[in-house]
Amino acid sequence: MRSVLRALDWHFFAPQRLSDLALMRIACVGATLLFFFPLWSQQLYLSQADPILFRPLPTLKVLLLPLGTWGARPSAALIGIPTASCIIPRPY
Amino acid sequence: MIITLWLLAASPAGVVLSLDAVIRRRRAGTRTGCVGQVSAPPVESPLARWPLRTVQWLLVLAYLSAGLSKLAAGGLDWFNGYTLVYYFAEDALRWGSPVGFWLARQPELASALSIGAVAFELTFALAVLFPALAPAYVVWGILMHGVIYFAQRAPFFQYCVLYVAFIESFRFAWLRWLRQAA
Repeated sequence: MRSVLRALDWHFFAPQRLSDLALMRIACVGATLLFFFPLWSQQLYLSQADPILFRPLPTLKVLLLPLGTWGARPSAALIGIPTASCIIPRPY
Repeated sequence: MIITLWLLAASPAGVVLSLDAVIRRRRAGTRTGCVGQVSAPPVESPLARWPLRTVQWLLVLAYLSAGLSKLAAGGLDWFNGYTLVYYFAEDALRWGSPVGFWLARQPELASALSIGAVAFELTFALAVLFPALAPAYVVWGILMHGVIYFAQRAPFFQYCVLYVAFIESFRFAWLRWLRQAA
C-alpha cells in the first residue's frame, strides 16, 4: 500500500520544470483567446438546446457530477457563474 | 480546455515566463533596493507536475470513453469499414468535404482507420504510463484529428493543444535523439 502511495506521489508530484507548466499555460490561454474563446451566446445556445441532443460521454458525466445529478446538463446560470468569475480582475 | 484552464489557475503556472514573474521580481528589487540582484525563481517544483498529469489523465479518460462508446454502440460492426463510410458520406454531404466523399468510397481504408482510431483511443493510457511512447501517440493523435477534420469537418483542435501536457516526453525524446546523433 505504501509503495503504491509512493508511486502515485512520484507520478503526480515529482519535481518538474516550471517552464513546462508555463508553456502549457501560454499554449492553452493563447489558443483559447485566439481560437476557442467561449462565447456567452454559444454557451447559452448549448445550455438551452433540446435535451435529447445532450448525450454526454461517461467522462463528462463524472466531471459534471459535482454540479448536479448523473448526466444532468448544467443550466445557463451555472455556466454563467464561472464565466463571470473568470473576468473579475485579479487584485495585486 | 476550460477544465485545463481551471487547473492551471490553481497551479504555479505563472511563476516563470509570465508578466506576474516580471512584476514580482521588479517589486522585490525595488523593496530591497538592488534591482537585478533578486534571486531567480526556482527552475523546478514538485507542484508543477500534477496539472500536466491531470490533463494527461483527462485526455486518457476522454479517449477511453470515446473508444468504449464506439464498441458499446457499434460492437465489432464498427471495424467493418461500412460504419465509418456511412459517417464519412453523411458528413461529406452535410459539409461538402471532398476528402470525406473520397473516403466514403474506400471501405477497406475506412476499416483500417476504424481499427486505428479505436486502438488509439483504448491504448492512449500507454502514453502516460510509458512516457517514451508519448511522442508517437501525440503524432498519431494529430494525424487522426487531422483526418477527422478534413473528412468530417469535426474540429478537435483543443485536444491537439492539450498535447502540450506531454512536453517533458518530447524534451527527453529530443535529448535522446541529440545524444544518438552526436
